[in-house]
Amino acid sequence: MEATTNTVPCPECEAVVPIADDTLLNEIIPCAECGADLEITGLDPLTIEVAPEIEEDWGE
Amino acid sequence: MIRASIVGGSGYAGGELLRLLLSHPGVEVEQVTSNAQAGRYVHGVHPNLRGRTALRFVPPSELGACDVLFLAQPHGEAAKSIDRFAALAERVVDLAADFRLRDAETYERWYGRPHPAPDWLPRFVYGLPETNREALRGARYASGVGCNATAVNLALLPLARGGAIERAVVEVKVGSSEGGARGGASTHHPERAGVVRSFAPTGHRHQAEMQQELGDFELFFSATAVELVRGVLCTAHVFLREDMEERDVWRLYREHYGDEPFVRLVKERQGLYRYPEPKLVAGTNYCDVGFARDEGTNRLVAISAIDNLMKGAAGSAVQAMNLMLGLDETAGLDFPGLHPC
Repeated sequence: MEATTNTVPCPECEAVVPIADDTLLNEIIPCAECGADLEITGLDPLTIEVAPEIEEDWGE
Repeated sequence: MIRASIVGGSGYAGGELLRLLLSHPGVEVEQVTSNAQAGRYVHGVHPNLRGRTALRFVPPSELGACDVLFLAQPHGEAAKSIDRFAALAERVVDLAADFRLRDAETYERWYGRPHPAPDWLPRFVYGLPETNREALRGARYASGVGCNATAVNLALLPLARGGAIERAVVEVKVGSSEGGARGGASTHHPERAGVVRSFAPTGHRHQAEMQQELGDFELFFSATAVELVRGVLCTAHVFLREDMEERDVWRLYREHYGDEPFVRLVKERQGLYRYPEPKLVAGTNYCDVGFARDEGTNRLVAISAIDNLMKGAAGSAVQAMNLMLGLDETAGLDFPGLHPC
């Protein structure tokens, strides 16, 4: 089981996102609540951003 | 064990209630009444219950005392006999519309006739735990909830309680089981199949329950019947007093519903089900709630999905009973739904 001593607020929905201790820079982590893909943009201090995503055609 | 009986158990809401109570860990079902089906096994009317109970319907005249009595009769019937029912059971939960509104004048305005037992209205607690949880704890009498009203109330409650709504234009798309078990010309299969029927573009009675629970803002409501058996999808166009950031809306909904056992926030950035979807909550007591901001305007679209027979009727009634009796609020209501379905 991954150790998760850190948490950050999701930049999209502010849900609490657990970050494992062995997380790598640029790793993509999904938010459990809003489903956003979040990218680790810094480790010390820990920073996170919504990862760019490819738009889908919904109902086009 | 709590001894429960159902008056009017041959309809869809009564059958759903029976399904839930038969699996409830703290309840034993004693009697199920039906005038038309007296003497028949309940599984003859509710075939999904075959092998789950040997109960037979009894005529209402044979109804005996019990701990909690559920009334699942057509609208207007419970109020006529409420004194008798209250003498038989310490606690009563009425699934129909008779005791949902707080005052007789509002009832007469929306239902077009005087209330048969107006003195009883203040004794009933409106049976939606998300708005009346503390009042339901230990209560003796609880009303049911309107299915459409529940979908709308839960979609809008955080915004309404936060004073954020200037006005709301709300539409629900509903399944055929809302019309009950008795058929008619409008439900005859060749007529009903495939319809997208605006059956109540204005004037739907559930609007009274919405205004009662949500408070004072302009609310316009329409209902459309679609090709579903179970389910309500509510699409509420909310015009906010002030524009809100995405995160502020998330925060408001999360603060309101974070501890609710049967309200889930559904707003996904990816995947097949990004917003609430009725078929995913079929058979469950969940109300899924989501939203979408209309960037650059003050419009917010609040969306909810329920099973009209569950969270919109029998599920909320059992949840209310659990609170009334001090039981685990979620007892008997843990079915997570099916996927795919």
